[in-house]
Amino acid sequence: MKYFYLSIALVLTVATTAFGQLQPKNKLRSGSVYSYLGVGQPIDYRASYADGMGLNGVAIYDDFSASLANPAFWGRTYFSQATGGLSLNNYNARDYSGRSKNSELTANLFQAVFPLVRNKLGFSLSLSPISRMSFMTYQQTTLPPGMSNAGDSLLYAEQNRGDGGLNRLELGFGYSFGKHLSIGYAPSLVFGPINNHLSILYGSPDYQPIVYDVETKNRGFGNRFGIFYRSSHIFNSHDNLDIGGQVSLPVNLRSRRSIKSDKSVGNGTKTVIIKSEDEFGAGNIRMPMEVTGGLTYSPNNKWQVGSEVLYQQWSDYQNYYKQPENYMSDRYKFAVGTRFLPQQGNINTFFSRFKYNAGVSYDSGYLKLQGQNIETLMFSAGLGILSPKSLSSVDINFHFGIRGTKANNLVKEQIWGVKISLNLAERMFYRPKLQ
Amino acid sequence: MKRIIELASNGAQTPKLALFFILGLLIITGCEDPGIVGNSFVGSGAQIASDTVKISDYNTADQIPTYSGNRSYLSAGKFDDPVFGTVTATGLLKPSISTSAIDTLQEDASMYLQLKIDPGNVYGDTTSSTTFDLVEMNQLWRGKSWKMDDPAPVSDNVVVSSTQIGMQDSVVIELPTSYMMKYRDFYYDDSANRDSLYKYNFYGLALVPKDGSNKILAINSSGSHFLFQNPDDTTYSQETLNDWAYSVERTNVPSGNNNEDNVFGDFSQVINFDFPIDKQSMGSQNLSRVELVLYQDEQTLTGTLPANTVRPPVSNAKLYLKTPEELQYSFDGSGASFSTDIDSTDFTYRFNLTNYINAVLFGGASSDTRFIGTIQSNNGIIYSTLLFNNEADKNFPKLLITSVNPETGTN
Repeated sequence: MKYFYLSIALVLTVATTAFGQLQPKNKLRSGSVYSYLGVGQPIDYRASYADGMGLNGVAIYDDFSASLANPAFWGRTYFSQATGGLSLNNYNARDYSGRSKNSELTANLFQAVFPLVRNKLGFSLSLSPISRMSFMTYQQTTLPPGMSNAGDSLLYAEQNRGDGGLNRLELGFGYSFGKHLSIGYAPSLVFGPINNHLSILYGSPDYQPIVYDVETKNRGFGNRFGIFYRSSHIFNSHDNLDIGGQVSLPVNLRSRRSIKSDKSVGNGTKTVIIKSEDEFGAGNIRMPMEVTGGLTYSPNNKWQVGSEVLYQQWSDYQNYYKQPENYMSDRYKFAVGTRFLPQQGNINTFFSRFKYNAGVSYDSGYLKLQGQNIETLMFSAGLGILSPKSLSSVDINFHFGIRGTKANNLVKEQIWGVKISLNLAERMFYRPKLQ
Repeated sequence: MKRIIELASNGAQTPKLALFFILGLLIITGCEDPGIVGNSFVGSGAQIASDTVKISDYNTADQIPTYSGNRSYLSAGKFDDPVFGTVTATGLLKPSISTSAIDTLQEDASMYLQLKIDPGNVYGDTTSSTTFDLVEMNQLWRGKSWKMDDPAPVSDNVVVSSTQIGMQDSVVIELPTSYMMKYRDFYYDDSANRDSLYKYNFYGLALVPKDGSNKILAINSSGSHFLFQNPDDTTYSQETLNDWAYSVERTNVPSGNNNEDNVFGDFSQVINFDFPIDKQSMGSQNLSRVELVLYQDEQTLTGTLPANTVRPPVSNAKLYLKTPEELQYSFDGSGASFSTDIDSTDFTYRFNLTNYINAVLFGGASSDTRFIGTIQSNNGIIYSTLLFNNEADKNFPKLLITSVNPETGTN
């Protein structure tokens, strides 16, 4: 039990540190250039054990690992569970004019699930990202003579570094109606800053560089609903067919924006508010509705095959000024994956200590630029390392994919990465009959 | 690899295994190469704005007390400038009386005035000679407190009449024995208050230009001396100038165009302007450059000069920040807040005011001062120029403001 608490504290510390974005500046902090648009790249609710299958896991339940994918799972909880981890993604991006290579180290999430009534009623407390902005762009512009105050042409460069994103602090409940049907509901506080750090540098020393930050703080409330149904003995006496779904309602964010700039005054630097929150006035960003449905078939206790469809209504997105963005497009994601558990309950051999996952997904993307959907094809594989002395495990999942296209001078990204998640499971508040 | 398998085989070591992977991946992906991609859809987050602001509160000031003594140069001569009128400069000189400089001063010794002239700063007809009378002064004067428009207190005693000076860089004028004897009396005065007697009773000489002169000389004060030579000596003893100054009188000044002003380096006429410094007036708080531009009427300056005539070259302008109270007193030209050289392509003076504006906007610096603009230097040479004022159609004094509008492109 002491180990369990210590581990939760460790995971929590790592997760909160990463959420606080305390990584060194410009190191492992730049992600996809596409996160420049909107509020950043959407991040799906996922179960770490389904990640290697390319699925979110809305219809894959695991007794020993916490899952954010479907609130209905929490009603089936028997063990107290906690999970958290880190992601490392590498982006090799190209377009017709250049290339870049960026890496990004981020926290996945932190989640703890506790049974109130075992296999009947449970609750989940989690902190997870739902979008992440992480990019760095660089542009050079030459203003011709007559277009500036300079007698000659004026060269300037603009570096734009974006970070931040929306996070969800969620407290949810799940309830099971017997062995087959579970439902769940999770209200949440959605919050987080979107930051743009811009630097304007000139080709002439006669012009002072301008550095300023545009910070948009967001706050709103979200609601998620989940349902899960398990039917057994479909084709044989050992098989299960699981059906799951979750709906996340649109989130209206109350947003406050300000612009600050560092000014050289005398021998020092002073941060001044260029435009205050009051001058901007309140903004309203609207995050879209999301629906995910999945189907998992387990012919026996070793194999699982699952498929999922995700839909996000990004055409309903509204920016800070309550305006729709014409580059937003409804997002569809289709995924299939499989899972192999060699020796459930018997992990005495080396290869039986692992769970094996693999899958593939197609994502139509939430962006449509110059007539092109920014699609993603992603291949996933993973290992679950089981602990022989406890119910805990470590999931290590790898993925490789291609996003975007070079057509119309858009950006094609090769993405590879790894996620490491620590899954803790203990039977808490249990008094043994024999001391 | 063996170690990894060992760790994997021992489930209790799973946290160690995870840490092992994290460290390994950090090492593998430690390098970044942020390049330039996505310009087709990454909009500009900023827009460079270029604005021009006319300076409305602009005039000239000619009420500032201007002192002309003990500067690097003193001017003497006369010139009919078609733009700036007839300029008459009278030089004032007084020798030192240091006994260490001269061993013996015999009754039949000779006394000379050596003038070091800067031909590069001649004002007028370079082919003409200037004719001076060296006239004895008749009352006490002090170089430090000599105002440029004070009339020179000359006596009727013309010490040297009608000496002519051409374009040479040095001239030696012999002074009469009577003047030497007057000086010698103070030199050999052995009373305790000799210096005081000399100061209050020996007034020095005035270089008074005569009519017909058409050139003003710039006389270097440190290179000019009074020389003494006894009959048997082969060398000269020399005394430096104890006090020196000059008076300037301007007459017949043409009215000129109302869209430009005369500006003189001796502060007798300066430009005086101001403009509001706040966010609204500047149009932005992200100021990359705030440039003040003053235009010189080069066409009139050069187009009206007769052949073989020149003005001391003006290539620099300065701005001072002064409160209205400070303008009631003289300033000696030190402590200029801004200085710039002329842009010879368009004959403009361009001052970079960016740091100052930022200091007012963000650093709490006072903006109660006004801008006082003058040219070149107040060093005893008569510098003159013509600057367009705010009546000009195009070349009016203006601020060129380059700023960054931060809201463009923000989602």
